[in-house]
Amino acid sequence: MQQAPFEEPLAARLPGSPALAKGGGGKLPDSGGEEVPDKVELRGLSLWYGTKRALHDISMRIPRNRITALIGPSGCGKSTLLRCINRMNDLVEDVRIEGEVLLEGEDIHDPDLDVNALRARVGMVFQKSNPFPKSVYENVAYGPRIHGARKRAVLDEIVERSLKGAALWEEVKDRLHESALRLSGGQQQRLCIARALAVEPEVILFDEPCSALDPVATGKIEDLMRELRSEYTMVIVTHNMQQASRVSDFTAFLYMGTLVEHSPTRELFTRPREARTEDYISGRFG
Amino acid sequence: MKAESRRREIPGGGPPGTSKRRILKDRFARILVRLGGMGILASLLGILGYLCLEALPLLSGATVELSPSRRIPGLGPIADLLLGPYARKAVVLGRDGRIRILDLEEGRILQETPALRGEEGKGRAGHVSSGPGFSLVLPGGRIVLRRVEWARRFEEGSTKVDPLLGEETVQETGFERVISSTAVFEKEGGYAVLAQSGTDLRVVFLQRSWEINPLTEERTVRESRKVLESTGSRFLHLALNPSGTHAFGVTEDGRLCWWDLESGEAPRFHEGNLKVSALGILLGGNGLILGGPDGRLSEWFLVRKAGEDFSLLHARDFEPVEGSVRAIRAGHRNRGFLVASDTGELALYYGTTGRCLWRGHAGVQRIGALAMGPKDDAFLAGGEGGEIVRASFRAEHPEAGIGAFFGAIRYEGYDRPSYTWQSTGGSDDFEIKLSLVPLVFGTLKGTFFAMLFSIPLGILGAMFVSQFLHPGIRDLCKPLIEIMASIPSVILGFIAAVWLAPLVESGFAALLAAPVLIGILILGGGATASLLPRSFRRRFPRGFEVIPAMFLVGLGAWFAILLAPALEGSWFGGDFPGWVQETLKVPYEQRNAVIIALAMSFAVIPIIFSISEDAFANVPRSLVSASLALGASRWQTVVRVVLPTASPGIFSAVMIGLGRAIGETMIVLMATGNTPIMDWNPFNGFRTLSANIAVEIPEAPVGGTLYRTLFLSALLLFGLTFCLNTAAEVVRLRLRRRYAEL
Repeated sequence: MQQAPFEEPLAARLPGSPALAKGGGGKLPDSGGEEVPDKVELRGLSLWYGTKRALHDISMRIPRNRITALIGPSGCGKSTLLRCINRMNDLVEDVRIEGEVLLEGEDIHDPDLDVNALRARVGMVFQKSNPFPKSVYENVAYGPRIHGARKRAVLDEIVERSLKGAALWEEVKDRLHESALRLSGGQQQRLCIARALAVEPEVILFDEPCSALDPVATGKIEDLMRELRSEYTMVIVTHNMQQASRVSDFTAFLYMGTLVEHSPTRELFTRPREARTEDYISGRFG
Repeated sequence: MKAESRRREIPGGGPPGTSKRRILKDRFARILVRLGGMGILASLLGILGYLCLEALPLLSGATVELSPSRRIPGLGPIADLLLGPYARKAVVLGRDGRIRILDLEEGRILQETPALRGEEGKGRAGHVSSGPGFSLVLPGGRIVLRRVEWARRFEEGSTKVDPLLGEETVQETGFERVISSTAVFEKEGGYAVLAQSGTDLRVVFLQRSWEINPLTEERTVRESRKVLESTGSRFLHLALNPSGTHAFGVTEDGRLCWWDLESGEAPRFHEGNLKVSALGILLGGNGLILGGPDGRLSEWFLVRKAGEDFSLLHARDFEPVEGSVRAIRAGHRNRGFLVASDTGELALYYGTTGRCLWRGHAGVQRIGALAMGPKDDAFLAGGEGGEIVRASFRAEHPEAGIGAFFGAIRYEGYDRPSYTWQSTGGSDDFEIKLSLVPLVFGTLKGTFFAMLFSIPLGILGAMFVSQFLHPGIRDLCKPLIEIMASIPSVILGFIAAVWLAPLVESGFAALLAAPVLIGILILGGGATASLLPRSFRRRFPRGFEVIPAMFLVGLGAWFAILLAPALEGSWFGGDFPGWVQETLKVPYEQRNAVIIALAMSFAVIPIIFSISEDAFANVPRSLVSASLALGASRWQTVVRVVLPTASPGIFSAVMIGLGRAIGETMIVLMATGNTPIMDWNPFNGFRTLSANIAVEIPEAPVGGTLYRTLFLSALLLFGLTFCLNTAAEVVRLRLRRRYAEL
């Protein structure tokens, strides 16, 4: 593996890329050319695990109702960046964060912000499917229940809608009260998506959702993500560049904790602006 | 990857020398591990087998070796019989009023003498309720009493036994004719006689005892004579208890009555129509055995119910014999008795348990008298035709039995069946009470109260430490609590008995107030903290809440101690134990279940805490993340995800803690008072199976009933913990299967 030659944050060296312009609630040009409003904006985000710096002054905008893919070699900080958006890094000891993460223009690190409410707005699907050791129904109903839904009819409706939303309803409607652990790996992952959908989030974060799945299951998840695109803003961390190019509208390439390039997906994969990006996507390292 | 690398370790891969050594090592390790496992299993089975082996003889009945009946030349119809030690010699009172000494081994008469010189051929044998001797009723209202004792001498290396006939004593009743009588030979040499007149049906109680002045060797005789009321009934059978305090009679019309000889009051009748053909008094003189012409046998004794006078209670029935009961003879060492019927049937029973130990046939039709050997190891039956049937028997544990251990039994003097453990008493004729039920109860009570404290504290403590506490404090906290488990239980018991018990007695109000006050302070503190602005709260690292909380706990305890005297004064009248006794109407003992709950939780909490903490810590982080990512709070995550997922581990923690509490010995031994009572009242003591073994095994003669009963209770304890652990394992495995795919 080659040592990265950058000494200073990359963003500073990037001349006036419109996608990476600092500050201001701007608009990002879609791959088709239309302007999309921001859902999340990162401003000069840096993160340290103890003394080890994991993210270097990252600024980027995540557009609404689009799929943004984060790609990069292992350990480049893509998952860390993802977890900044719903403050899952709070759970790690000795983490220090600088910079701002704005959700709809609101700083999520505001001391008066309720982190549980934030996480209800920003859902997350993990690398390894992690259904609760409960029934399919209870897994999906878990979120609504903790947010106060009690009535059976309401819960039934949410469960059905979420499972349909996750394209799982037809497969599990007859076994709603069986253990979720009996589902196949792909079904479990879609159940986790349904579980995230049940709390009606605005943003869904996917942390390598297909890394443990076979191609058929992966395809189903990708189809699902495309279907959900119209209603949710999604961010996906993936190792798989084909996946990023298949599902995402925008792709950000991270390397060693810095954001190298952030462009519409087709542009990034066909005409990368940075040599690093080209090296990575053409498989010269990673 | 793993499989591949392992395959490469298998012979052939490495250099030849190392590979062979590797195989040897592998084989050796495998054999060692297998041996270890087998050894554990074998020793477990060995312990179980040994316990069973020691306890099993308890359930055996009596083994009787019955010799065929033999006629001894010159022996006429037998009226009464006494059997000497080793069953070698016997003394017979014949219908002809002559006393004959028999050598049972040679089958001949050694000596023959009239019961009263000069009055041969007259009179008939009187009933003897207890004691070694004969009574003979002569015409003219006279009763002859002949005491029989046994002298041992050593001759030619063996013990010889000779009967010693006491002097002829003629007791005048003052009646012209005696129709029924009974006599008691007292241990010290005196006697007592009860007789009914044939002319006016009066009953007289005569007692004669003597004292020998050890200095002057002067004999002072004390005589007493009491005429008792008979209310005009004619008595078929009379009996006296050995201490001469009560007399019993059965009237012609089948009523049972008794006299209190000390008060001299009129007899009290137990109404009913009893058919009685023989009557006997059990060892101790309280149990009365009635045998009927229909072969029925029943035990009766005097009972004083609370607030009432004595009354006769029909305690139990025994398995009936065939034919009419002719004779009943009580054992000299326990509540056993021998019964003979007119069909020649012989049967051995045990009074307390109601068990029939043995039944057999004498081979002689009409048995007139029975005798029991002084060690209860032999008996003799004498036929009306002068036949003698000798038997040696062994009934090692007659007082044992499933009924004795687990059933409710009407012990002598108890007005209702009860479960009682009382293995030793003040006298030889004490009735042993071996119910294991109060001990099992005590074990469960101690365990229950200990678990009442330990389960919530252990589990919630583990939950707090693993889920909410700052890792820095957690790493300090866990080993500290685990050190608690290493305190020897004898020290815990000692502290509980000597320091804690008096402290709790005097400061119970503080103990009651402390949890309430601490709870209020903690809740109040939490509420105050939540009112503080979020930005202020965020300055403190998460998981350090325990430091102000500990301060509040200390404050609460201090308040409780300060407030205790006032509380005790206003709620409990200034004296909590007294208040318990007066208001709750239950006794307060200093060493009670509350003390045990506190002391035992010191032993049990570390176990429950440690295993549950591991269970909490082993809940996959991914589940916690999933829950938090859905917007659940820490508390919601712990309660709805972590707790259910950790439940198999928590369950086994509780079960292992329970096993520890059941088997715990020293704490309960030292701090319960060891009273084998059955009462859920938390303010009195109890006795557990384990403490009972520890208390009684030093005093139990090896191989005796108590000794074996203790082994049985050990088996029970073993079974209890074994079942519990097995059940726990089954449930744990089932729970784990539910969460297996995590």
